[in-house]
Amino acid sequence: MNNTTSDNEQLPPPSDVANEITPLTRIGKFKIPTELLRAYTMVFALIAIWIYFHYSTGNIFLEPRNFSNLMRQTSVTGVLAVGMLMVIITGQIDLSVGSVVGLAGGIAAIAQGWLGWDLVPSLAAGIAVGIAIGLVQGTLTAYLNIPAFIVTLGGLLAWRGVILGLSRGETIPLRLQAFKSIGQDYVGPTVGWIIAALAVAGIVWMTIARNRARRRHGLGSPLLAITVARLVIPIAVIVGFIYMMNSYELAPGVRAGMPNPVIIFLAIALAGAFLTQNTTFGRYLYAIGGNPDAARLSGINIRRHLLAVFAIMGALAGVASIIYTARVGSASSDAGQLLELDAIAACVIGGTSLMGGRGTVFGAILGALIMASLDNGMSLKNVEPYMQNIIKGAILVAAVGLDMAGRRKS
Amino acid sequence: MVYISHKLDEVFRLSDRISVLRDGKTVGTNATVEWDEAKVIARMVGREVGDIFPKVDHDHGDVVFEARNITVSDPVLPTKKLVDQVSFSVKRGEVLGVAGLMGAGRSDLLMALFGAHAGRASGEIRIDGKRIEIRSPAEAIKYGIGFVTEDRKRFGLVLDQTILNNMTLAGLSRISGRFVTSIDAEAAAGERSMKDLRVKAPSVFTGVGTLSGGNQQKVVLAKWLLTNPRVLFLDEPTRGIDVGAKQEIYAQINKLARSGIAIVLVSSELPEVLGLSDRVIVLHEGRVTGEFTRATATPEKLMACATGHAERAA
Repeated sequence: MNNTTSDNEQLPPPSDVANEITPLTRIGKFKIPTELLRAYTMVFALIAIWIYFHYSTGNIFLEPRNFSNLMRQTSVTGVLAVGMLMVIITGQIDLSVGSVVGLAGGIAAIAQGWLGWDLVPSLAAGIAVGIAIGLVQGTLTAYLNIPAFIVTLGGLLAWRGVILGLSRGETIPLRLQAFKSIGQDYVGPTVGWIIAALAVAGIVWMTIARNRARRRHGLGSPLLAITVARLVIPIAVIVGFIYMMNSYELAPGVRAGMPNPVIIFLAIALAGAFLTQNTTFGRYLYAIGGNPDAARLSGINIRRHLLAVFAIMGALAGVASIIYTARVGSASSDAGQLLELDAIAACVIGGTSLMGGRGTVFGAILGALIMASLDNGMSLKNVEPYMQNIIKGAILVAAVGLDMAGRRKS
Repeated sequence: MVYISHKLDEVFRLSDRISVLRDGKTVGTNATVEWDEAKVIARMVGREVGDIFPKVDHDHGDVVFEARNITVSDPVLPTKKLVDQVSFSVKRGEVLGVAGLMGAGRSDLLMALFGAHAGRASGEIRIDGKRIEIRSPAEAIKYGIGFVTEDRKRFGLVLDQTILNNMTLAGLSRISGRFVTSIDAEAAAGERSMKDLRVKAPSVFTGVGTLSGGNQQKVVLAKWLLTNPRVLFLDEPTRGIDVGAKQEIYAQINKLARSGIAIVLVSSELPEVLGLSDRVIVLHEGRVTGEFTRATATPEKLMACATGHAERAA
């Protein structure tokens, strides 16, 4: 196609994308892209929480030992939050994941304990249970049009009932050391540095590619300061993170490195970020949540995508259940209770809209970190459990309230 | 009492005085006895047809798309027929206008043909003379049908997202890759569309929700052109957009027809239907009540068919 009529209407000259892609929020005399502001608000909130706990616990909170522990605690919620994010992006919800964690972990424990299965089949059984439940709930939601809220609320009750019945209320200890090691051991310092090196290379390569693409599309080069910040900040975070993980000493001279669950969590987070941001599948999820009618009329098979999303959520609940069971060292019928709410809260605190169509894996991870930090820090401070619940609840509502206030203005 | 209706027989039965409104202005008020239906219709449609439409005679090729005996029932009341035994065909490079009043079943017809109607639909669809089944929009797209739906905010756009994401949504796997997306390939396609359709926005990464109605409509059109369609359904493509953007959309429609796309144009604006179409069919209560060529169509005849006051006028 060619331009037919007069072409003298000029488009505004391209300037820095950040100024035009997103709505801006004005703070004093500065205008800051709203999305960026949201992300940084969460980062600053997290840092503030960390500093507060660090000083109010007598410098324990950010010590390598506790930091390593915190990351391990984040892993379960984080894995669930990645799955929950995809569910919520499509405008759905999954209230059953806590019970699925209990059931899938229980099945894996029963398989290796009572049935004498090896490690791999036992783990596979746990994950398969998660996927099967996801497929059932996805089918009921997508093909029989029963609201996900109802289907998964039913699941929350039913799957908990199933594991109670199967385990007869007994706690099933893990027999295999290799199983426990998934939740309790560390990868050692070398693996950490290899991962750090790969991550740094990846960040440098992505920054170069991004700047090149911007130039190709006539968006101009970003300010040098922005490029440098984009390089330096993530690299500093990664190197600092690995350094912290590696400086935790299990015994004098024995460095721990990253806990196994953290490796699993990071791998899943990376896969989740790729799936949502760099694939047609991810794009369709955002479209389905953003405007289901437009998505359907654009040829997207909504049902199939919802089914897939629930299956992924189920699989991740299976993975989370294995980490959880391995960390505890046994499966009990009340394992994983209220995890669904932690996962949902993590997404929401991370800027995910429950209406669908909005949210990122990065945000959900930040949210999971904030939730886990609150748990960990308040426990260190010996805050009584009832008070912990009140504070977590209030923070969740406040975070969403702030988010809504920000949206109304923009 | 004020009684508002486009059902003229009711108006004549009930009223003492009749006012005719067009484009938000009163264009005539008189005692009912002074009016007759022809006069009312003439006032309703106005006279200034033709000025803004470049008369272009398209060279038509073979029949690309054909619908036979399409019947669509109401999803809630299955006994009620929204579309009743409608048949039509469109040739390569031809613009077929579908006129009719709101609720005549025009959108239901297109939705059903596109595999997107909630009610039961029956009938026969042929592309290039071959009979096909279209059970979903995905299948329709695969057969080369594009559908610029009415009500762009409800059916056309994901308002939260960028121009680019909206433009590439329907043809994503074709433009960007079957699974892994390529922002480069997408941006290149999007930028080309933006230039071709003269979408006024700072960049393809601008949020589509911030655009004016006309530019949003161009984004919807771009989305369908990026699926490489052979048949294009346009449902009220210029509703709620400014006159300048309308003109540009008209020019695009003519250009697309010249490039060989078969176009089905649904519009409530008679000047638009008359100015752009090579042939026009008129729907009234789900049935075809008239068919005209460009030469035989007049606003009066179309309106008479649309209100059910002339059966098969052509």
